[in-house]
Amino acid sequence: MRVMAPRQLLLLLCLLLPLALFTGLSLGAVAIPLSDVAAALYSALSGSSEPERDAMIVLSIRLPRVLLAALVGICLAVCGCVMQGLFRNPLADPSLIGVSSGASAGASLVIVFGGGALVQGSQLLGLTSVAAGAFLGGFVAVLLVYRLATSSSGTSVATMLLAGIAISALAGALNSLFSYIADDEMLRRISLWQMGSLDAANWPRVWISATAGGLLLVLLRRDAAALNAFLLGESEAWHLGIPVESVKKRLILLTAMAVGTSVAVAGTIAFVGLIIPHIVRMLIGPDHRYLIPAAALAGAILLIGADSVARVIVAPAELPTGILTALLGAPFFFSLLARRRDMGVI
Amino acid sequence: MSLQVKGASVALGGTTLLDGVDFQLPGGEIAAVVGPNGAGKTSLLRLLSGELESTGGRVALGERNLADWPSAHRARQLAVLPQHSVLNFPFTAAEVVMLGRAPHASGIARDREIVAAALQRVDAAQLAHREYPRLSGGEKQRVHLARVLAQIWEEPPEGRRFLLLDEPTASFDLAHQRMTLEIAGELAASGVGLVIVLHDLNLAARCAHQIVMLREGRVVVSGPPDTVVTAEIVQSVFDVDVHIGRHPAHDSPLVIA
Repeated sequence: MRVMAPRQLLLLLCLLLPLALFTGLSLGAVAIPLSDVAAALYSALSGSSEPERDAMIVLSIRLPRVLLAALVGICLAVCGCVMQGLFRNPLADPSLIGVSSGASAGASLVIVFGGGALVQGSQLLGLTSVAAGAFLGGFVAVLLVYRLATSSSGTSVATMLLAGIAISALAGALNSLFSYIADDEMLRRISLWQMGSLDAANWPRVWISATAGGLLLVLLRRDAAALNAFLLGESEAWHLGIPVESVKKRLILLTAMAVGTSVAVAGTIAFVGLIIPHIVRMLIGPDHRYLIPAAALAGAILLIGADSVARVIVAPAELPTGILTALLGAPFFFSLLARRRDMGVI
Repeated sequence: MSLQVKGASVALGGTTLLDGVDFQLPGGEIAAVVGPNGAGKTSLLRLLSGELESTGGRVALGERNLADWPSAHRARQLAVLPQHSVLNFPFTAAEVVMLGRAPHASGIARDREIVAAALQRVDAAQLAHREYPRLSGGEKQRVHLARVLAQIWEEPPEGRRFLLLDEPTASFDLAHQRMTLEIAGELAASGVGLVIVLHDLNLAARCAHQIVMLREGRVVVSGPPDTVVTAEIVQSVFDVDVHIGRHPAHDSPLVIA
């Protein structure tokens, strides 16, 4: 069933990523030839001469945007692997534990009650107060889900799933309530925000996401083996010497941190966290020691690609990236379900 | 060098699962846990594996309380084969067995040898590269048996090994039932202590050094098969009339219902 060896896929993705980065820098309302992209990057690195118009577009508009797409893709895809492993369910997704809906409610809250001045003007570390609200909303939702599912005998992932549904419903209701009170201008901001877009990319956002993604990848390194054991069941993982409760807590906090950050900088971008782990697993099998790095690379490539398409498909305007990933992701999800039904396995 | 329970009770959600249980298993011995449905056999296994904590009393692995062992150290000495597994991700059989090496740092080459040998031992070498979710129930259970064998394949630095098996023969045909008991015998001969939950009193009488008979969370009687498997005890615990004969080949008690 496996298509290739894990190392082959990792090598292939390592070759594809720079290709995707360059393509992403070259595509847009103004197409810039790859040679000019390379020249602009070279001049920025060597610090020579004042940049021309094309170089300006590449360096100060497209480069942060492409890097942000890559980092958000990494966070979403890796957290998808973690969630699917933790829930032992290949159809799990970071939004299951309430982070996306909590973030939406947080963002709407700030848009509606934050006051025009606060929303427009104030920035904290390059994040608007809406983004900060989204991060906090997402994080609070996950903490609530975690607390609801934790008793003296530990955290039940089955209860987490149910608590996630309940908290998502609650956050959805709050979101509707805020939308109901909102005026037309606020309403448009809310719905645009929820579509998920990378058009607010700037360097501070890139650094914040890089920190989140870096922390995620570094801290997950030692949990890959634990996630493999989790697939057998929590009791079996415990029997294999995995400190189940502390690993679970760390994985949930890391997911809340990384997905919360990516939602804060780019809104809700659907299906990346579901699809990427799936594709990678179909190619190389479920071993998390390879699944996680491969999904990180593939997530980066997919989101750079999707964002590039979103920028050119209706040029000179652009489509919110989240719409594009959902448009592509939903049919893929249907085909997965059909495959599952036909084969009786995952 | 033993796995020991003294006066342990377990209650979960207001229900008493085990009540003042005493039990001791030296290395190199096989203990069979028997009793009617709901007697607490699996609970005893979960207590011995450290999964359930006792209220009052103590559970000790060697010189330390079970709960005081760091988890990886515990896992090198104590492996558990559950009745069912929920694994539905497409690992190959060999990868599943490799998970048994998780608590060890013996190096990938050695681990691969052990995985191959463990699969061979359970008559599953030909399954190594098959995807686990596509195996039959009996094949899956053999792969898990290989996994726990791989987990305690070699004597760890701590110096003792125990294996807990919950109904290991339930999904096996006769040949693989016999294979399982042979493996248990070999492990015991090499110093491993085994606790096996069994429904079949005759299998228990044949393979075990001691039988622990449970009812309603208490140990009714424990000891060598000849003293435990008697008509009076079986009748009082299981509430059925039986005759006790002798096994013609093994000279162990034979329950004839």
